[in-house]
Amino acid sequence: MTGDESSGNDLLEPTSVIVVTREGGFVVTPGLSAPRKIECRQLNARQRRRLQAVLDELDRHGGESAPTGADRRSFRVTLEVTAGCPRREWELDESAAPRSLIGLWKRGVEELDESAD
Amino acid sequence: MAGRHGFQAPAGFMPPHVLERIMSHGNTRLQQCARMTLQADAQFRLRNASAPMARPADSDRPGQAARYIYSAGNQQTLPGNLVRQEGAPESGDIAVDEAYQWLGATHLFYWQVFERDSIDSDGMALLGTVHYGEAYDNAFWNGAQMVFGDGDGELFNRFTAALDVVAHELTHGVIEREAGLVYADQSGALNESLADVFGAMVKQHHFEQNVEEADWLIGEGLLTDRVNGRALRSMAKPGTAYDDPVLGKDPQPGHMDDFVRTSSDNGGVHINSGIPNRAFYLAATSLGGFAWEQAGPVWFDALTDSRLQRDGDFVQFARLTVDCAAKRFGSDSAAMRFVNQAWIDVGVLS
Ligand SMILES: [Zn+2]
Repeated sequence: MTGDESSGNDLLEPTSVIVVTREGGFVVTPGLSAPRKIECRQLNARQRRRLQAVLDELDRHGGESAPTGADRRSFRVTLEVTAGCPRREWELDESAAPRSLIGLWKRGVEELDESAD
Repeated sequence: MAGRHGFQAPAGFMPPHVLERIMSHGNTRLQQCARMTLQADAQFRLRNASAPMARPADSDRPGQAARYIYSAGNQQTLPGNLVRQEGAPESGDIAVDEAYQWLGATHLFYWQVFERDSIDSDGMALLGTVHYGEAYDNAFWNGAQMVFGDGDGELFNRFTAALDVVAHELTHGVIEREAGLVYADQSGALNESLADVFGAMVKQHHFEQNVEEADWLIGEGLLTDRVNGRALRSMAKPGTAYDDPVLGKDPQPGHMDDFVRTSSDNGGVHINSGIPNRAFYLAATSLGGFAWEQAGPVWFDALTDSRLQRDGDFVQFARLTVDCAAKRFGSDSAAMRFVNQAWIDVGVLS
């Protein structure tokens, strides 16, 4: 990918907070279910652009996942503008979750620095 | 309706439940998003329904398992490469051979104790994939097969190491074919509990343990030495399986007073399952002997009873077990009294 990946349909505002949680699975522990929070006001322009790209990718994946069965894990992403009030919510089975989202859950803001432009 | 071995969406579909909740409670924008996703899911299911994946042959001999163990080679593609099938010698790959052995032990349990021949009661092939993903800390049932990760080695060992985990996953298939319990909220916690109950019984049956000898733990051996914990869940004392700086403290309640209300984990299906788990433990230990002699058949009768609804809650299931105990063992039997008392002790019945 080159240049600005955002779709022109930016969801992010300076006050936006992204919360990523991984839910479910055979093993549900409080420690591993802890949410990852990313506050936009703490990001530089480049990081914010990359975060927007992650959200754009979620939109493209939307609806592809149809996890059947039991003990499946999923990612839940909420975009909050004021704390606790979701403006958008995505839920994806982990097999349908883009790498960038898994990275965001694992590494937080670091992921936004590491990913290739 | 799903065909005999069809791979259409099984009962208890997780995202539509969540999405439907958004549809009824969310704001307009969320609702619009949810509606689109529901439509996309419906199309996905339609596609799936019209192109069922090829499956290896079921068993044609009653009581004889038909096992197929695959390796995903640390990818996330299913089912992966076939490594060992029914009757073949050990492969030398420990995860493959454990999956083979434990699926066999589970099949044998259902056949010997309940005369149930595999997941569908008609010799359905048992498919298990090991080495799924990289350092994958999970095991699941995908509606068609069982899948096991290798664990990360830091917190979790490989998921085939524990017989009750393998039996738990196979039992999800049985539950799906029978009660089809919706995988959310109380019916979801019942679904989880039944998978634990039969998982624990398979282990006790294989190692010939009576109710006193059994450890009543789920996933014993799955946690590495670095974790402060004995297992993933305790049926005897829910909430006491682990207490660790990284994992946190076991969140399971053992009584309705402590029922956890949460939107995550499909409404806490792996959390509130502690309550019916403990009811089974109490019933089985009160009755003594082997769990599969009295308490087990009562739970099995309830699971396979046509009166159990897909969205059945704890109370409905509890009443059904009491009724099944009376039918099987008599209305003044110890089984009926102890089953009833167990549900009272966990606060489900009064
Ligand atoms: Zn389960």
